[in-house]
Amino acid sequence: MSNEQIILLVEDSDADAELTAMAFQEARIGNPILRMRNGLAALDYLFAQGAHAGRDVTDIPAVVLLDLNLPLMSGLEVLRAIRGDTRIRHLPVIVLTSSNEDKDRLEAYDHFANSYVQKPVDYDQFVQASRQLGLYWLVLNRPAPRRDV
Amino acid sequence: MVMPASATVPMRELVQQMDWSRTPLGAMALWPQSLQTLAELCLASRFPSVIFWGDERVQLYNDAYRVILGAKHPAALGQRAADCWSEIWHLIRDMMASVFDSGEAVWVEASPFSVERNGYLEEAYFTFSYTPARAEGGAVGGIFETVAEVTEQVISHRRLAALRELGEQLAAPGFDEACVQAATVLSHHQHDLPFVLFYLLSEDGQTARLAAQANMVAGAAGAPLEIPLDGADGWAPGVVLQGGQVLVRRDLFERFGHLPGGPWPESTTTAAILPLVRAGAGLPYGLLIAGISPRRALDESYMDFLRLTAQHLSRVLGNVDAYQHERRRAEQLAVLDRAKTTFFNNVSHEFRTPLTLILGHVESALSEPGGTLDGDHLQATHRSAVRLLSLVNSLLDFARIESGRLQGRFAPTDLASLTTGLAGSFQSLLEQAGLRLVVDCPALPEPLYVDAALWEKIVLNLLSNAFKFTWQGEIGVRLRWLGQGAELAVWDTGCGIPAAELPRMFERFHRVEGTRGRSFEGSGIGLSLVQEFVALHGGRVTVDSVEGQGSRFKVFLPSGRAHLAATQCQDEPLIAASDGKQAYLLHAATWLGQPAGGQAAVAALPTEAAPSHMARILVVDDNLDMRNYLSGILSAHWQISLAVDGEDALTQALAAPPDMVVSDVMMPRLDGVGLLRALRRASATAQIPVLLLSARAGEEPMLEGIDTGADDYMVKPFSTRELLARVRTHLGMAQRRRQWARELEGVNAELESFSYSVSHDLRAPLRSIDGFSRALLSHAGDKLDAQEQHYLARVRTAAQQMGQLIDDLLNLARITRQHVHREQVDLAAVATRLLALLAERDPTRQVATTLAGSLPVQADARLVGILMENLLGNAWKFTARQQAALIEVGSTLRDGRAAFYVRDNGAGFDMRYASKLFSPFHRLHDDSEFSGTGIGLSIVQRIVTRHEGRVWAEATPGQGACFYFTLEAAA
Repeated sequence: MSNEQIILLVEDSDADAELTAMAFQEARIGNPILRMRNGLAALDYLFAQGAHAGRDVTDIPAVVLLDLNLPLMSGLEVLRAIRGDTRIRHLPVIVLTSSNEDKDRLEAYDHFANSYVQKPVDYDQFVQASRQLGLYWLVLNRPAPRRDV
Repeated sequence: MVMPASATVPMRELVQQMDWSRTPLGAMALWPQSLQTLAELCLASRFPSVIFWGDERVQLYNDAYRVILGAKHPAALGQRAADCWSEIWHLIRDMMASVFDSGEAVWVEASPFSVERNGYLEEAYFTFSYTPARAEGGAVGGIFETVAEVTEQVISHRRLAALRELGEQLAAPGFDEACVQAATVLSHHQHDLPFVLFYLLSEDGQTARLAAQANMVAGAAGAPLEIPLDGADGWAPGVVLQGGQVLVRRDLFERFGHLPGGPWPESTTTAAILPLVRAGAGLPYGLLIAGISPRRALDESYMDFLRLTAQHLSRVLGNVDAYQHERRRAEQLAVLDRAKTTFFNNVSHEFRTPLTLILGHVESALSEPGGTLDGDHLQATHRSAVRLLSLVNSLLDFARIESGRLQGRFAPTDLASLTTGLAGSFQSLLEQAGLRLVVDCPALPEPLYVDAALWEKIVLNLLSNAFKFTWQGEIGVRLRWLGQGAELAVWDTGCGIPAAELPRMFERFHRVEGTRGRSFEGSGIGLSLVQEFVALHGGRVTVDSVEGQGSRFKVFLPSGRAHLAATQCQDEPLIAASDGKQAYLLHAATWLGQPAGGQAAVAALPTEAAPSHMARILVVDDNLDMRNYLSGILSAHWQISLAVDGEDALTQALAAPPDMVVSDVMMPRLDGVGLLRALRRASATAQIPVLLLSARAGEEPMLEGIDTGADDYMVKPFSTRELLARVRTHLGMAQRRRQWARELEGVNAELESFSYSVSHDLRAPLRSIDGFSRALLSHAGDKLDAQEQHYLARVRTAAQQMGQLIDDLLNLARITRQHVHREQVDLAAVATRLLALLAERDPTRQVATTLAGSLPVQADARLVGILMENLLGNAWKFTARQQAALIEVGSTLRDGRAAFYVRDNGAGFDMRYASKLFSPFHRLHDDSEFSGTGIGLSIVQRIVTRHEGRVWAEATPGQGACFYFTLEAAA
């Protein structure tokens, strides 16, 4: 297990961010979680710009947990930006949201989300979901090899 | 035939001459006194009587008794009874013995005996008495029998009964039924009719078909299913049919072998063939073949019986014939009646259109200060008046023909120049329509006797007909001399006539529906008038046509005047002074400007001149004048588009939906009602207000118009002001409807965004409540006492329940929005899958299921999946406390439609609450019993409602519930 690789959590709600961290911890996922409050900050990090200028852009997160309802820039826009850049377009992005609307699901997959997970209200179920997510995306799934830039 | 001497010699002499010493009685002189006295009494009696004397029952009889003996006499004299009556000895032996033993008399009435007295076993009936005759010692010495033969009475009585039974059935719906009824009756009279066959003649009179039989198997020897009427084999009944005679065949055994003998073991060897005569003239209906009893001679009374049987059946068949004839007549009258009704409908339409135009133009002129009518309006008025005139003329011609009062005035006529002139008058009209006119009428060798006015109508009718149905190519008129007369051919390259319609083309009132004509106008009598006019000339008219290629009408007129009534002929040529041409031409000209097949739209009034915010009205009428008139009225207020028939209007409306449609009802290709239906079907045009204009008055079409969804309906002639007012009203209403629809859409959109935010914004805090309560429990659980932990658990349960509630609510909203896409779904397969899923989730439960093999239905697969999930989930849930839980899924018929059901034997509910069952959040069980949000059944109901179906439930508390649903609109 690549303990070094971080999980990028894009989530505006502090409570949700904290809950997610708690759930991941409870699910025994050891990867550090880096949380961004909005889409712009997330993109700055991913593209190594703004506050994150100078960061090695090829050092990509293991997985991005992306909320759809974000201030400033919606989750879908973040997703489109990720898929539009050859350096990071293979990044696994899991849409993690409250919504179960057909429209949202369709749009997420239209923008090439890897997965769409509805946040359950029941915390125990959330822990269960986190454990499965971790097992799949951090252990089973083999990411794309690093591209020579 | 030579009678034996004994036949005439009186019995007294025969008895005297008889050598009695050779009989058990011994010589006559030695007879006891009692016997001598008895013999004397017997011989003296005029009543048939016989003495059976002694143990040997030796016979002595008188003259009268000889009839009964038949051929047994004279051997019977002095013979022992056992020898004489060997064939019935078993019947009479004991009777005689009892008389001897008891000394009491015996009386037997009409007793059947088959006696062989005429060379064959004969069915006979006797009434007789055995009287004991005492010998000298006082003991019974013999029997004195007096006997009367009652054969004739018995048999006559029996035959009368048969005829009476037959007489009770007098009517049958058909020939076959009549024969079957008669055969059934006669099958009970085997003594007189060992077998009976009824044959009915075929239409062509060549064969006869077995219609019914009694005591024979159809198709067996002697009862072929069909018999030829000529030839010598088999029944060969030819002579019966021609001559109407009765034929007796006595060689049946040679012809057919064994035939059933009724109650007797012998074969029937004789049969009589009788015609079933048709009243009046003509071939008989058929044949009655009657087997003759092998134990009766075919005597006169037997023959009478057969004749009466045949007569009776002939009468019944006659009744059937008359009845069927009556019915056919009634049907023909009904057809004619319907045709006349159609005719009057059409004619009223034909009249109303020109009347509307005349009145419209004249009224608008009158409302002007000058009160003058000029220009196009004047011309349109004139055309309409001329049209009315020609309609009236056709009707008068028609009425004259109907009453047989139409007479021609025939004069020798140069048919070629008359015809050329008539055809030529169409030249410029055809040119305008882009058609070629071919006229080929060379001079004929002699003038023909023709009524010029009628000839003009013949030619003009055929020409305007050709013009009406021809869109391109040519129309031709050719005249030829054929020796015995002249033939006129009028052909076209038009749309032709369907082959099935050809034989009916000249029928009165007949119209070919749905053809691509220039106009739908026409009363359906034009061609029938042509035929009548031609017939009046002693000629004939024929038509041949290939659909899609054109038609050719041919009129043949014989030469000379021999075929015409002399009083109607004159020899001086007549100068035809008729202006009939004008009416035909003026009318045909109004058909111009119709597009070929309607593809091209008629040039509308210059719409660019109208401001774009103006509402646009599509005016649909196949009459050019009517179209112009309507657009003239309406264009002052609105933009106008024009269409020439329903098809054209539909194409235009779908391409660019107008704000309103004003349409005529009767039009070619697609009529107003068809247009209306098509507009309502397409979503883009479904809301457009449609006003129908009809010339057919009366309540019924009014309802028809409203039923099909017309917004309004006006009958021609109508007032201009009223039309304007109604159009204005409907446009206003439509505008308001559109506004409401927009508002509704807005509200819907708001609602949707609301439910969207509900999904996010309500769930997020719930997640926090649940998650942090849980965190608190795990972090500080050991510091909390049991009560405090219980409170936290309560908080969590509440949060989770609320989460579920929100999800269910959103589902409910989503189902209401979703489009129903019907496809073939098997509900049984859906149920199987869902039940397996339920069992997997809840492996501790043991639930028995009964499923129908397959439950096919046209429904939205996803929605019925959700529906079944809810119903089966409920059934699963509410049977949790049941020892032997059972869930059944199947279908039943309700009001002719399939109703599906999901039944369980679980908790059930009180039917008092059945009405509340399907309202959202309504629950009949509290949470401690069965958990749930109370949304499931509302979802079920929404899904069923979206499918236009119905859902209901039946239940008994503690015994289970059954939920029924249909997935289609009620029948």
